[in-house]
Amino acid sequence: MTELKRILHVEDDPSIQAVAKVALEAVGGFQVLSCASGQEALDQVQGFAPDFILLDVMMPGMDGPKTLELIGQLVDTARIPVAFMTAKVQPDEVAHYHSLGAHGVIIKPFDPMQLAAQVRQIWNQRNG
Amino acid sequence: MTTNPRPIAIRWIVIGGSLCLALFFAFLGRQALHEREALWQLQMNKQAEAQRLALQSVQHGLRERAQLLAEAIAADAWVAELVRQASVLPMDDQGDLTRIRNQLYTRLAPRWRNMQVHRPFRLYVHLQDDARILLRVHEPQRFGDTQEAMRPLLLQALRTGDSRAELNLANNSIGIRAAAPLLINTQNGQRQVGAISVAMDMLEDLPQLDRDLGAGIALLLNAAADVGKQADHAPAWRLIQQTRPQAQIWLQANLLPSPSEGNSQRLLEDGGQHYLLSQLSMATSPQPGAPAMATVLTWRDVSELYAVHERDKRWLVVKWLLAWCGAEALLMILLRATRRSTQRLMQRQQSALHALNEISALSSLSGKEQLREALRMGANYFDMPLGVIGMIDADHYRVLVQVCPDTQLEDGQTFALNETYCSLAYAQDDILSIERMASSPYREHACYARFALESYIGTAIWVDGRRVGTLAFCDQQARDRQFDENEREFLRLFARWVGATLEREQQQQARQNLLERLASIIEGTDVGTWEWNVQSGATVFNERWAQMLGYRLEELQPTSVETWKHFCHPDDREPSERMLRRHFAGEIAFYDRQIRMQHRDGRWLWVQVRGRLSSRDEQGRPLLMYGTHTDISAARQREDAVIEARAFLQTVLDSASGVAIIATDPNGLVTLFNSGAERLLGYSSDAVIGQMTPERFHLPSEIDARAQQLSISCGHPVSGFQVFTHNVRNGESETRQWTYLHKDGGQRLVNLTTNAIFDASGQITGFLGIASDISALQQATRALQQSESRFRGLVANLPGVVYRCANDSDWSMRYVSDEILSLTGYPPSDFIDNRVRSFSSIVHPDDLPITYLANDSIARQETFELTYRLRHADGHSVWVREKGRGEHDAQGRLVWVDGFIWDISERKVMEDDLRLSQQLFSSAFATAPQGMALVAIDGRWLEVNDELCRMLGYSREEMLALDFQRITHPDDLGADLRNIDDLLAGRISAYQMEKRYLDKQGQVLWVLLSSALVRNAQGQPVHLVAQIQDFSDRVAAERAIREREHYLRTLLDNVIDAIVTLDDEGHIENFNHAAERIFAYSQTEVAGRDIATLIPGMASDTLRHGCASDQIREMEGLRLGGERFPLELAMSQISHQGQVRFIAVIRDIAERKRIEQMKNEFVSTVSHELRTPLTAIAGSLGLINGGALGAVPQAMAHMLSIAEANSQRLSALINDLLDMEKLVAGKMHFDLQRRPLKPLLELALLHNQPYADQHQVRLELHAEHDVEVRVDTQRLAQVLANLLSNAAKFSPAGAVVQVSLETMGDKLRVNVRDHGPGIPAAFHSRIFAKFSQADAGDTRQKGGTGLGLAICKEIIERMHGRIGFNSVPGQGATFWFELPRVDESET
Repeated sequence: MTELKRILHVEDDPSIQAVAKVALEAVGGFQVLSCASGQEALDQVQGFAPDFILLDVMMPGMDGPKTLELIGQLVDTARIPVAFMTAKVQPDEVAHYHSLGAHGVIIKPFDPMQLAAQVRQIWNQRNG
Repeated sequence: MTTNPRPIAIRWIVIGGSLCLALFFAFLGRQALHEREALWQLQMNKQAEAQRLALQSVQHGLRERAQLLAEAIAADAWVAELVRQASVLPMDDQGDLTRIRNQLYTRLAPRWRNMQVHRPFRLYVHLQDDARILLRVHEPQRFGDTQEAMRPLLLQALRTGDSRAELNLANNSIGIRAAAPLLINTQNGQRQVGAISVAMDMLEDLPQLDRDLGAGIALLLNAAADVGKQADHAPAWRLIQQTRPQAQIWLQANLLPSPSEGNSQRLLEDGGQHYLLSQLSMATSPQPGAPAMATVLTWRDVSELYAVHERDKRWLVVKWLLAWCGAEALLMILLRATRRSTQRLMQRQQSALHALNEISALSSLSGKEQLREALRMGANYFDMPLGVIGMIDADHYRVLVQVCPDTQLEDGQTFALNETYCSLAYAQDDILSIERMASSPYREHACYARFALESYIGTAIWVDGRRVGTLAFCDQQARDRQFDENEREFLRLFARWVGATLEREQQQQARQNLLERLASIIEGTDVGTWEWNVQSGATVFNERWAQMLGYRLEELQPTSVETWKHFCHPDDREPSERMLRRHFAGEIAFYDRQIRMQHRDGRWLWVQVRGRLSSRDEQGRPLLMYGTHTDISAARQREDAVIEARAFLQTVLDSASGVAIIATDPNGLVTLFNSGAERLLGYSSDAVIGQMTPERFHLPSEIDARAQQLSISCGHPVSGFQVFTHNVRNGESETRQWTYLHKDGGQRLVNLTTNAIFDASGQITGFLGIASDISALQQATRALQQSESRFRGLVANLPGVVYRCANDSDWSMRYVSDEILSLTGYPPSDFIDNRVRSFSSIVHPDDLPITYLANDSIARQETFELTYRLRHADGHSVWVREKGRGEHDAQGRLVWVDGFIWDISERKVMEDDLRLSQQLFSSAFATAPQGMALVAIDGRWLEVNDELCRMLGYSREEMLALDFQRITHPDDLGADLRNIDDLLAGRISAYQMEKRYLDKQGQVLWVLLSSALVRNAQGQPVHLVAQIQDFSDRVAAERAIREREHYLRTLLDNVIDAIVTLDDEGHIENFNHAAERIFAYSQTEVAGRDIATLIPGMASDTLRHGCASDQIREMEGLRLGGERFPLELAMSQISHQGQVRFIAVIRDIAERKRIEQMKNEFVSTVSHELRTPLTAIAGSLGLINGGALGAVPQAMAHMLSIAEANSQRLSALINDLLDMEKLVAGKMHFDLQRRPLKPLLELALLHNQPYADQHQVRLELHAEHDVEVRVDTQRLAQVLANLLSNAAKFSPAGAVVQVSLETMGDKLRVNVRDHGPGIPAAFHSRIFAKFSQADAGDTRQKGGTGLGLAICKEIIERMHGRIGFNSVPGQGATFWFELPRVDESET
């Protein structure tokens, strides 16, 4: 079991990208690579070798679930926990995300001071 | 008497117990015997062991001694040196050898001899190499052999250099042999040169041992071992030595143990003596496990010990037997004692039961005496002289019943409560018993001081769940025995019985009172009562019932349901029984009818019968029924009178065709214009009502003249319509002559009576004018007078009686001509209204049935002719013939019967008859109130009466010049002619039709024509008789209805909503244009089809429900093409012509829905788009304020926290908006599950307390019990969070918000109560609307989105609940919601 250090964050909105990056780096002490699209994430995922992937659901072009599917062909997502960030959190929607292979769902809007803790909790559940 | 099972049980207990005891003691005794035996064995073993040990110790001592001896000799260095020398000598050097041997002998012999004194032994010196014997000290001459040296012991000692000793067996002897090596010290250490061996005989010690042990000793040798044979033969034992002779005998008798048993012992009896034999193996065999070579047998006389042992054993048995007997005896004593005490207890219980049984069997006595008798029995039972039942009322104690030996107490005596012991018993929950008052805690009691009652037992009496008094027994003697549980139980049961008796008494009293009251009520209300056993028919009536019918009840006895039937009007029986069947079937709650009953004097009484079935038998058949009879004849008569009067007035108005009645509103506009007015003035009412004022009908010159006249008389100008009303405004009427102007310009002189119409408050609401055509009146009056005098003259000259009788039950005469006097001898006045007698009373009784035949003819509207006898006043019979006919009105109802009766006992009957009929016809013809005519077959009018001329506006002459074809409306002519053809052809005998004539002015006149054909004696048609009734009014009314219908239909067709009417089964009846447009069906396509064709979700059985709910529902419609669309439906139910109809108003809301959806989607999209930037803003601010990016300057921090708080509020607003949108669009998922509510409330309070803390408000839950509901827990939490945060937000600091749970039938309600400012009344209606907050200023102050309550409402309604609030401004508010309770049985 490795330590949680490197997080790949995929989010098309630059503001939220920035907030999440600060939240995870400054508060959580992680190393974050932010990608603005699913395609960029696919290009970077092997080189960055993340311990954890945080995916926005609604993105133009390639959405979160599609990105997750394609990332799965490049790296072992069974080993790397993936969490979706979304505002759509009806129980059936959450169940749907889990069926796609996500290990957790983070509700938007998120509390930036708690984001790192939430990520760590999902990671611990996955590895614990 | 049955056999008492108890003795058998006791016998079995005795047998079983004894058996158990015997077994128990046998077991213990056996154990003790065993122990005794074991002890004996142990003792024997110990003794044997001791003997063996002694033997072994002797043997051991010998071995030690032998070894010591050998070693001591071997330690002699000189001996060793000599042996060394000997060993190095050559074998043939006998000389040196002998020298050495001599030296050795010299050295050893003295010592050997010395030692022989103590113990004889043999001493050998052996050489090292072959263990050859160098010297036998005890036998010096024998040497040089190796026989002895072959022994393994010696060889071992030589080889190992150690000294050894062992038991040795040789030559029928057993001994100990020991060997010790001879060592010399050399330069290389010690060297072994030979060995010394010593042999001792053991047997020499036996006699000594015998003495020491006090036991015989014998040595047995294994013969096999002895001779060195192998053990393939059975070992044969030989007795080698014995100290006492018995051993030899026993061996021969084979009594000894087998030596192969090893160490063992046994008891041997020989010659009355007992010996303990013990055997010890001498294990000298080199092979372990092989039989021993020798055994030593010891025996000892233990006879004494054995005798003691035997005696002990016997004693033991005796002791245990004694113990068993003792236990048996104890058991018997115990059983007997228990049985005796049980019997005593049972006797006591039996006597209590007996007393109670006696008490309960006292039912034949009156209540009080029963109680007294019971008290007496109780006193006997307790053996206490005084028994008392007392009632307690507040502070008083009243003796109800008592028994006492003297007159110490009396019934009804009253005491202050605290002076009685009963006050103590009354206060107790159970029995209070005192055996000796003087030593009880109550000895200070006032009652003791007063009555000195020493013993007391009492308890409270309960009636109807309340304590009402006490039951007590007491005695002046102290009681030497305590009250036992039986007595207490007796008293408890007794008190219960007394309670029940009192209760029964009270109930009986109450029932008696009720019965008396009811009886008096029934008497007072003058109601007859009846009780009917439906099955047996037995019926009981009260006196009043009989009185009502003019009888005394006893006259009607025996009464049954037949009595009732007898008096009941035959026509009322059948409907009455029908109603009864419906009542029995449970369709109606009461049997309630008005029927006619015949009074004793023959008249019919109207009776209101009311009853109800009160019980049924086991098969469910009706059994008992009770009811009342009320005489309502008077009421019924009044009712009939009112109905008659109303009908009369109606008829007057309907028939007032000769009088013009015109009503106006206060301004003169005509509101009523009757047919008389139409006829008089020539206008149709339609043209006049609401269009004209009466001025139009008057000569202007007359109005002007009258106006002038009135202006002068009252001093102010009067003009126009006022001239008619000026003098009637004060309520008086005015009658004047005026000239009316007919529409055609003609003038009529009329008498006009005007009146003002006032409403209840005295306001004038209009005016009424009644005008009569004076000239016509005068003419009519003249005509009537002429007609009457002509009629009277005619009748007077008739040779018979003319009569008219009314259609009532008695055919009472309204007119009888004077001729009746000569025909019957009675004056006509006798018969008018049956004043003195009825006509039927003078008909000959035998001929009465003949007169009934007339009824049939009347019913067929035919003329009847009868011949019968009358009884003349002077007694003789008169044969008469009667001819008559019923007069029917337009509706075919019989009004009168007119007829003629003449004497046929005289001659010329035929002539009279003919004359009579002609005259009759002509008179009736002329005066008939309807048009009548004789019409020729070709249609010419042969004869017409005045009424017909009046109707058609022609004079008689003009009429006779016309034919009916000329004045018949062309559209009706064909039908009329066809009818006449049918008449002529004989297909019909008469016909009736509605047709139109054209009057002289060319106006259409609707009439009802009844026409019949008259044929002559040869059957040839002669002419037609026609009756013509004017019913233009009716036709006009019908036309108005049709027009109104057309108007309404037009109206319906022009509304945009579809309007569909349905019959009571949901079939479509009407379908307006809008409906055709919406559903794309035409009216004809859908008429008669089920409404489900249009609205599939609408089943016909839900129609009524749909109306009842009285609200607009949204449903789905189905167009002709199959397209489904949303619609709004409002149902209402009407009753039309006694039938239920439904009206569905349907609106197509597809477009509206589409717009709503667009709006919702827009809100959703906008909110969603807003949320992303807001997430970033709130997130950034959160990071800064959270200190993730380092400390923020103080001044900035405040601003930033404001910014964050507001971004969160905006976020909450958008969340609420999205929630709202989801709820409205039905997209919000509800996971309804069955949950206990209380834990959810507790959790909500826990979660919201932190927020409340910010406002310094405490949340409290009050819920005693829990209930289950079906909810989505998250959504419920959302609602509770909203209500709780609102309550906290609006509460003053330090206040408490109370949450309570209450159950209301199948619902439960959660209340959240705050003590805030409350909700302004003006805001009540909007509180659950979106974006509403009571005070806009407050919004900013208190926060909140204004959507919270709207969301709560939606959520609660989605969970099938209801939300609301109660508030008084200034006193806080209570918000509540209700949820349906989950049924316990539901799974």
